[in-house]
Amino acid sequence: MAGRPLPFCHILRKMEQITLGNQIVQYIFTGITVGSIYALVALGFNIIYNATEVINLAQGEFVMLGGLIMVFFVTILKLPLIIAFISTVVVVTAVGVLFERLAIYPLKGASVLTLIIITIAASILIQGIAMGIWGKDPYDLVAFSGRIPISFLGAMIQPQYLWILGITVVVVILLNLFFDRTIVGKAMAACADNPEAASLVGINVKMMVLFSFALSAAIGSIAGIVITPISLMEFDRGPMLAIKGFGAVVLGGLGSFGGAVFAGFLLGVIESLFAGLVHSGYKDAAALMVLLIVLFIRPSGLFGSIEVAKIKKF
Amino acid sequence: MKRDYKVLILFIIALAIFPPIAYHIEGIQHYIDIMIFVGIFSLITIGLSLLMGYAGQISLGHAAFFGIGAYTSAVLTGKFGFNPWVAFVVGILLTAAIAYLVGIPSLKLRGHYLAMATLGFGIIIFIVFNEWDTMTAGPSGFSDIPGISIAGYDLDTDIEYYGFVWAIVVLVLLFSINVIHSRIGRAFRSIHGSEDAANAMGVHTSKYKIQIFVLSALYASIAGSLYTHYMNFLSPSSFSLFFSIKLVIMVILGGGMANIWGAILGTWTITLLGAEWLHFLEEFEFLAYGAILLLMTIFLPRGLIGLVELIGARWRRGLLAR
Amino acid sequence: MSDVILEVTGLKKAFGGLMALLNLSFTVERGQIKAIIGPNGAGKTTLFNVITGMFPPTGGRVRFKGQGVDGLQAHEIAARGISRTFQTVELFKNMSVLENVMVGRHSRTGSGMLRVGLRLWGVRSEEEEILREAMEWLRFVDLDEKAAENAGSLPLGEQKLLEMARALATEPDLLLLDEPASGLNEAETAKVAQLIYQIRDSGTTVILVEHDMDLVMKVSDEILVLNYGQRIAEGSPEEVKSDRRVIDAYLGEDIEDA
Repeated sequence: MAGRPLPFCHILRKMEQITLGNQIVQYIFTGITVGSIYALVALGFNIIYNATEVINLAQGEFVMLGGLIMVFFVTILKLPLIIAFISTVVVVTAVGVLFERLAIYPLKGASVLTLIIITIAASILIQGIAMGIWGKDPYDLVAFSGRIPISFLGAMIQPQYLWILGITVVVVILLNLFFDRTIVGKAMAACADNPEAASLVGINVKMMVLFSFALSAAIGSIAGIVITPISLMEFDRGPMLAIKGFGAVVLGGLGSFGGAVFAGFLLGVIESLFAGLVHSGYKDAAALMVLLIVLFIRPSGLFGSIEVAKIKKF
Repeated sequence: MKRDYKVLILFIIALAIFPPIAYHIEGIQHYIDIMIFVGIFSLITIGLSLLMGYAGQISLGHAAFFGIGAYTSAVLTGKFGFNPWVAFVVGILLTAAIAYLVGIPSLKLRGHYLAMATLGFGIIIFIVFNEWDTMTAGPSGFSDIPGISIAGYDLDTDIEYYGFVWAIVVLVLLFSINVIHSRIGRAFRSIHGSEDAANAMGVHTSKYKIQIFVLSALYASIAGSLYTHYMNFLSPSSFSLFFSIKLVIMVILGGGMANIWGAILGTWTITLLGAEWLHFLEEFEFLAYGAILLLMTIFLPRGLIGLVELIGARWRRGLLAR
Repeated sequence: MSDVILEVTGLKKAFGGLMALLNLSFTVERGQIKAIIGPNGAGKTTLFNVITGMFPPTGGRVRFKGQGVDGLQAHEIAARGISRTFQTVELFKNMSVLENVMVGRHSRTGSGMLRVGLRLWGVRSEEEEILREAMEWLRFVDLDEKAAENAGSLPLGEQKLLEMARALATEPDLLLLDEPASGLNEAETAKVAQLIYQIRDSGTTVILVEHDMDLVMKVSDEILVLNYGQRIAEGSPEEVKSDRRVIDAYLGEDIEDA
C-alpha cells in the first residue's frame, strides 16, 4: 500500500522515531483506507441485494473498470481530473445498466444457482474484455493532490488516503440522504422491503432494479478511481475485492448499509494489522478467514437479525 | 440394464480403441496427452456433477481439493521419498479430513452464502500453496517429482498413463453410477428437489450433503495425485480460483448438472478448446469462457448433453414418422 | 382406555416477538381422524412444523407413542413414524412420480453409500423391494400409470395425491395432512376423503388441517379449533359447529355453511 518513496532526509529523521505504536497507527490508517474500498464495495452489494435479492458477484469488476477507465481518461486523453472522474463514473454506470439489461433482466425468476453462475460469467467476461483492452499489466494513476506524505499521530499518511476517506464519507452521506429524503430513494427502499406493495402503489419495480445496478456501478467505479493512485489497478483485481467486500457485507449484516460501512472499515483494519504484525503474505487469507468465520458462526453478521437470516433462503 | 451402464460399456470400448488408432496416425498422437488431462479433470467434474447437479449444492473452490491431493503426493514423494501409493492414500485421507471440517459448517449454508464460503476456502488454500514455500516451493514451482509405478512396472509412456488414468475414471464412474441409481442417489436428488420435504420423508439431509461433498473432494484429490505424477512438476497457478470456475464451467457446459456424462463431455470440450484453439488466444480464454457460461445459462441450461438428447429425441421421432 | 398416540402439552412457539403458538395442549388417539381448523394465521401449519421437527418448540412438550419428540430432527421424527404432506405441495420436481414415492421408503431401508456404490450383497433385492412397494402406494392413489412421468408435470390434484402416496410410503403411524383439499374440485375432494378413510382403516392415525368445512365435518372424529396460536374449542363436529367461540372466530361464515 505504499506510495512514492519519501525524500531521504525525511526517512532518516523518521527512522529514529518509529515505534511499535507508530507502526500500529500506520497500519490502522492503511487499514481504514483499504477498508473504505471494502465499505464502498459492500454498499454496492447491499444496494443491489436490497432491490433484487441478487448478490452480484461481478461487483468487483465495476471497481476495476473505474480504475482503468480513469487511467485512460487521465493519461491517454489527458482530461482534467474532475472531468475524467465524472466521465468514468458515467461510463461504468452505463456498463452497470448494460449488465442489468443483458444478464439480469432476462433471467428474473431464475434459481439462485443460475443467478450466481450468471454474475460469475459476467465477471469473467468483463475481465476478458478488460484484458483485451488493457493487457495484464497494472496501471498507475496520478494522485489527486500529490504524494508528499503528511505526518499525523506518528504515522506518515499519503494525501490520497485522505481523499479516499473523504470521498467515502461523502458517498455514504449522499446515499443516506438519497434513501431518506428523495422520492426515488424512498421508492427504492420500498421496493427492497416489499416489491408487491411497492408496485401496487405505482412504483416501477423494474426501473428500481435497473437503478440499483446503475447506482452500485457508480459507487464501485468511485472506489476504483480513488484507490488506483495507491495500489494501482489491473484487469483481474475484481474478484478479490468482491469477495472481501462480500465479507464486509456479511460481517455487517446483509442488507444493512450502516453495517456494511462499519464492517468494511473493520475488515480493512483487521487485514492491515495482520499484514503488518503477523505475516503480510497471508493477509488476503486473513481477510477471507473473517468471511468464513462470520458465515460459519453468525451469518446474520454484527447488525443483522438472526430470525431474518434463518428465514431467508440462504 | 439401465442406460447409464450401457453407455459405460460403449464408453470403455471407445476409450480402449482410441490410443491404438491415434498412435498410428501422425498429428493425432498428442491427443493421447490431451486425453490424459481430460481423464484427470473428469475425475473432478464427475464429483462436481454429483455435488452440484444431483445434490443441488455448489462449490466454487474445488481446485483446492485437487491441489491438496496434488501437493500431498508431490511433497511426500518428492521431498520425503515416500512411496507414491502411500502418498496417494495419505492425500486422500488428508483431503477427506479437510473436506469434512470445512463441509460441516459450510453445508449449513445455502445459495450465495455457500458459494462464497467455498470460494473463500478455495482462495485461502491457494494462498497457502503460494506462501508456504518451505513445503510447496511456492510460485516458482515444485519440480523433479517422481513418477508412479504399479507393482514395479513404471508408468512412463503416454499410452500407459492414459490407460492408468482412464481405468481409474471408469472405476469411479461405475461407483458413481451405482450410487446414482440407488436410495442414496435418490436421497441426494431429493435434497436438490426440496430439502424440507426430504427431511420430512426421513432423509438425513445434513449427513448426505456432507457425504457428497467429501466424496467429490476425494475424487478431486485422486485427480490431483494423478496430475502430480504425470506432470512431475507443480505450480500453484494450476489451483487458482480461475481453475475452480473452469471446473464449474466444464460441468455446466456439458450438462453435468443433469447428467453425469455431461460432466465428461464438458471436460473434454473445454480441455480440447484450451489445448487446441485458445492456446494462442490466451487473452480470449477469459472472454470465451465468460461468453460460453453466459450463453449456456441463458439458452441451453441442460448443456451439451441436453442438446444431444434433443437431437436424439428428434431423430427417434423422425424414425417413428416413417 | 383408548390409546393416546400424540400428546401435546403447553406448546409454545415464538418467532422473534411473534407468538405463533401459545400454551397449546391436546391429545390424539390412535386410529382417530382429527381435524385442526382455524382462521388463517391461527398457527395450524406452524403446529405441524413443530410436531414434525422442522422447528424446535420454544416451550412445552410433544410426546409421540409415549416418547418425547420435541427437539428431535425432522428425519428422526419421520423414522419414528410421523409423516406429512405440505400446504404448498413440496414434491421433488426434479424426479419422476415413482421416484418421489421411492424416497418415502428411505427411512425403512438402510444401505449406505459404500454398499450401493460397490453394489454389495443385498443392494439389488432392496432396490426391487423399494420399487415394488412404491408402485403399490401409487396404485393406492391411482397414479400407477403415471409412474414414469415427471412429478412437476402433474395437475395439482394428482400432485397432492402423489404427496400423500409419498408420505404413506414411509409407513407412518401418524399422518399429518396439511390442507389436502385446497385447490381441488368436488370430485377430487371426495377422492381425498375416501383415501383418508382407507388410511385410517389400515391403522394409521390422521390429523388434517383443512379449510374445506364440508370435508372436515364429514371425515373427522374430533375437531380442534385454533385461533392466535391457542386452542379455543375441541370436540365432536356437532359440538364445535355450535360453539359460540368458534362461530365468533370465523365470523360465522364457513361453519354455518357446513
